[in-house]
Amino acid sequence: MINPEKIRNFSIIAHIDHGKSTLADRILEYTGAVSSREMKKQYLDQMDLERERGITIKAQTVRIRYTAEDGETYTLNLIDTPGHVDFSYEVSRSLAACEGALLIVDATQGVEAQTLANVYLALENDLEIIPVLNKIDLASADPERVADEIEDIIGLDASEAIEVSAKKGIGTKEVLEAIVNKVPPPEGNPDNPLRALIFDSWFDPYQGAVVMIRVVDGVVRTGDRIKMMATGRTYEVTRLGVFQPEPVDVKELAPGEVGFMVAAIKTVRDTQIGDTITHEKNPAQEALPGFKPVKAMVFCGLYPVDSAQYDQLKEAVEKLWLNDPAFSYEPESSIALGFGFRCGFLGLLHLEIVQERLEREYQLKLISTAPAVSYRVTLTSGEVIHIHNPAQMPDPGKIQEIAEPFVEMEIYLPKEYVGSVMGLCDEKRGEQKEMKYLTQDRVLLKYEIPFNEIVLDFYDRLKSVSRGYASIDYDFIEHRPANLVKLDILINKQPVDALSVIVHRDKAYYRGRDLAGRLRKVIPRQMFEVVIQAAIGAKVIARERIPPLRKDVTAKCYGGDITRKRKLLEKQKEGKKRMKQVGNVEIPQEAFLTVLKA
Amino acid sequence: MAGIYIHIPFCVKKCPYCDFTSYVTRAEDFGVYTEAVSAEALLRCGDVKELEFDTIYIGGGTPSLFPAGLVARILETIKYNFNFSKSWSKLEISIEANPDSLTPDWLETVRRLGVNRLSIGGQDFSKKGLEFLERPHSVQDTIETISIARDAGFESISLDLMFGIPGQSVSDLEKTLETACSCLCQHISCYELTVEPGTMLALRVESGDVIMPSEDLLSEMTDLAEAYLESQGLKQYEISNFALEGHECRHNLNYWANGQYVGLGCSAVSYIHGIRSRNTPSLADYVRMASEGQSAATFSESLDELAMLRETVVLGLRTNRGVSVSGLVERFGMDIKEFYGDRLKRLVQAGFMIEHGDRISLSRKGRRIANSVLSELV
Repeated sequence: MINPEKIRNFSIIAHIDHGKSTLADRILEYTGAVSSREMKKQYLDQMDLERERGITIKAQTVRIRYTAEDGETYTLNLIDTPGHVDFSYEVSRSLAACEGALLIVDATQGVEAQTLANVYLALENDLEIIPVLNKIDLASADPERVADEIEDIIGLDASEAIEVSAKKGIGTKEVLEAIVNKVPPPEGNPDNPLRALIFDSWFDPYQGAVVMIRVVDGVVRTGDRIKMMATGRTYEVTRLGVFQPEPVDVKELAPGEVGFMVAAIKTVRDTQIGDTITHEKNPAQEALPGFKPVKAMVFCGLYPVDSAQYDQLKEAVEKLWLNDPAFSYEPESSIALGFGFRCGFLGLLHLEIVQERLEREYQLKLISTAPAVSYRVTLTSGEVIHIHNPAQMPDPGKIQEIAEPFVEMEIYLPKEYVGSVMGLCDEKRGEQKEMKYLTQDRVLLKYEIPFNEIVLDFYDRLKSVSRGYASIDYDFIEHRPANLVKLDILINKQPVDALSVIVHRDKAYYRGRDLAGRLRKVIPRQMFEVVIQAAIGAKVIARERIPPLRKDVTAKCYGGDITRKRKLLEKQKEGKKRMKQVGNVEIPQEAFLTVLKA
Repeated sequence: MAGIYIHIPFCVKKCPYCDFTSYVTRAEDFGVYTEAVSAEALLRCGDVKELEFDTIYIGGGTPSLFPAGLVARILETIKYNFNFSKSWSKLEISIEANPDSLTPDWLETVRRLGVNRLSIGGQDFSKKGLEFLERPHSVQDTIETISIARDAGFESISLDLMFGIPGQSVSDLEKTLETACSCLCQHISCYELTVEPGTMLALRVESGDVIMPSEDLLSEMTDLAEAYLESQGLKQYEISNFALEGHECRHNLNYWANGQYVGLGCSAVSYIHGIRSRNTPSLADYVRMASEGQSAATFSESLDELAMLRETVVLGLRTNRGVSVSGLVERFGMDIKEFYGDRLKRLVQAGFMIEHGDRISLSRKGRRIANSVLSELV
C-alpha cells in the first residue's frame, strides 16, 4: 500500500492551445515515464482524432514516480483534461479525482474564457491551484502583465506563478516541485468501507467495460466482490492496474490511488460515470457526491446511410456512450432517413467529435440532421412539451407559444475587435448586458443570446471577425418566448423531415432561400426534374429547380468494351445506393450536411 | 449467330481521343503479326468446332494500312479452319479503313477476298473538326474514298461520324450530316465524342485547355442527328448506329445480343461458352505467345447466370428493337418483368422504356440518358 502522504493527484487546466498537452509531455519525459525515444508528440492524446485536431477530448490518466528535492519518492497521478468549452463535463469529472490543478496560461495571450471557466470548476472542487505561465521563450511573452491579469481577473495569488516553456522544457522541475509541495496529499481511511469514484470508462472488446476509479476510502483488491451503488449490481474484480503510461497490473488500490478496474462488466449501461463502487459485503453507507448531471444543449438525428447498418449503429452508440456519457441518445425514425437516433450533445464540437468517432471507430457511414436546440412549446390546450426535433413541432394552429433557450455568453477579446464582435452578436439576436475593460487592451462582453444562433455558425464567424483572438464561454439561463417558425424543405412536393429547421420568423425568408440554393448545388441532376421548395406551413417562400439529365449515355459499346462498360454502369448503380432515396429523388449525404452550415 | 473479330493494332499516329490498342506503324511488324494471328486462329478454332460463324470483322487500329496480301493470308487461315453458317460470299465480312490510306488496288483486292462491307473513319466533314481530332485526312479525301470504294464493288459502305467536338456548333453538325448523306452510304455510325480516361484528350480536358460541350448542346445535337438521318432513310437501330433497311451491321448486332464471338489479335476480346477473355494489349507479348502456340489471354471473367442475364438486358436495350421477354425466358429461364419487378414498371411508367408486345426497349427519352436507365437494371 502506498503511503497516501506520498501521493499527489493533479490535473492540468488551460484554455485551448495554451500548451496543456505539451507540458504533460515534458512531465512524462522528465520523470522518465516515457523516454524521448518513445515520445510521440502529445502522448496523452491517444485518439487519432485528438492528435489530428490538436485538442484533448478524453481525459487520460498516468501514474508517475518522482523523486523530489527532499529525497522522497512521490507517486504523482496526472489526470489530463480537455480544454474546450463543450467538454467542461469531462473536466469536472477529472477534477473530482484530484486535490490540485496546474493552471496554465499562455504568457503571450493572457486569461481567456475557458481559463476562467476551468478555474471556477477547480474552485468548486476545492482544488489547490498552481498558476503556470507558459511560452515564456517567445518574444511576445509578457509574464508580468499576464500574472497581473490572473490576479485582477481571477483573483488568484500569482506571485509564485511558475514561468515555463513547455516546448523548450524550461521550468519542468519547478512545476514538479510545486506539485509535491503545494498540492495536499489525499485524505481517506483504508479501514473504512470501500468508496471509489468512477470518473471514466470505456468499452474493450476483450475485457468488457473498463472503468477508471479514484479510491477515497478502503482498499479494493483483485477477487473482491464489489457493488455499484447506483445500480446495485455486483461483480468480481478480475483486474486492477495503473497507467505508467502503459497499463501495468497491480493487486490493490488504496485510498488516494487512481487506476483502472476490469470486472467482466458486459452491459455497457451498468457502469455510470460518477457512481461509487463499494464492497458487496460491508458496503459504505453513503455514496460519494458524484457529478452534477449534464444537460445536452444541441440535438441532432444520426442515421446510417445504409439502413441495414442500424443495428451496428445501435451497438456503436451504446459503446461510445460508455466512454462519453455526456451525450444522450434515444431511438427515433424519420420518413426520409429511416431508423436512427436523436442524440443530445454539449455543443457543436461535441456533436462533430461524436459523429466522427462513431464513423471511425465503428466503421459507419452516418447522416446527421441539422442541429437543433430544445424548444419549450406551450400548446393551446395549456400542455407544455419540449421539442428536440424540428420535425416533431406541432401544427402551428395548436401552438400558443414557442420558447427558445437563451444562454449568457462571456466573450473575452482584444479591444480592437469589439466593434465587429458586437455587430455579430447583434445579428445573432444577442442582447448586450455588460462591457468591461479588464485591462487596457482586453475587454469582456456579456450577452444574452438565443442558443439556436450559436449552434449554427457562431464559432466560425467569431473566429473570422476577431481573427481568432476572441474566446467565449456560455451557460444556459432560461427559455424565452420568441417568434419562431418551422421551416420545411420539400423535394418534389414531399417534405423531407430531416431537413426541417426552426428559425426566427425574421430570418425565415433568407434562410429558406439560402437552404434551397445550397441544396440545388449539392443534389446532382437526375432522371427526373427535382424541385426544391422551402415552406412555412403551406406557404412556399423559396423554390429552386434542378432540370433533369438530358444526356448521359455511352456512345460506343462493342465486343471489346462490354466488360468495362458494364462495370461503369455497376459503379453508377453503387453511387446511387450510397444516396438516400426520397420519393424518386436521390439525395447525397452532403445535402444533409448543408443544413448544418448557416 | 457468332462472329470472328480480328484486331489490327497499327496506326500512322495515335489520335488524341482514341483509347483502342494501337501502335505506330512499323512495316517490319506486319509479317510477324500476320503469322501470329494465323497461329492464334489455328489454336483457337479447336475450341469452337460446334459453332457456325456468320460474320467476320477486321478492326483496328487502321486495317487499311495492312497490305492486302497479309489480309488475304489471315482470311484464308480463318476460311479453312472455322465452320460457317453459309457460303463464304454470303457472310458479312467487314473491314475498317481510313480515307488517308486507301488505294483502289487495295480496295479491289480485299473485295475479291470476299470482304463486302467497308467502314470508313471519316469522323467529320469540317476542316476545323478534323484538325481538332488531328485526323491525317481532309474532307475531300473522305468524299473521294467513298466514291472509289463504290467503284471497287462495295455495296455496303459505312461511315463513322463524330459530334460534340469542342468548337462544333449545331449548324456545323448539320452541314457535316448533309455532306455525309450526299455521299450515299448505306450505314452511318454517329458517335458522341467521349473523353476516355488515359487519352491525350482527357489530359487536355483535365488541365482546362479543352472544354467539352454542355449537356444541353449535346442533347440538341443528338436530336438533330437522329432526325436528319431518319429523314434520309437511315433508320436508327442502336444508340449510335443508323442504316438503310437490310444494311445493319450483323457483326455488331451479335455483340448487343450478347452472342458468342472469337477475337483474334493483340487486345482482342472473345466471348465463348460464357467466358469472356481478353488477349494481352502488348504487341510484343502477343506475338511471342501466339507464335509459340500459347493462349494470349491475360484476362478472363465468367459471370453467374443472373449477372449474365442482366448484362444481356443492358446490352440488348442499346438497340432500338430492345429485348424479347420470351427470348430471355428461353435463354435464361427467367421472366425479366418478374425479375426486375417494380423497378422496370417504374421506368416504363415514367416513359423511359416502352413495352410493345413481347419486346421491351428504351424510349427516345430513355435513350438520351441510357446510362442512368441501364444502371437501374445492370
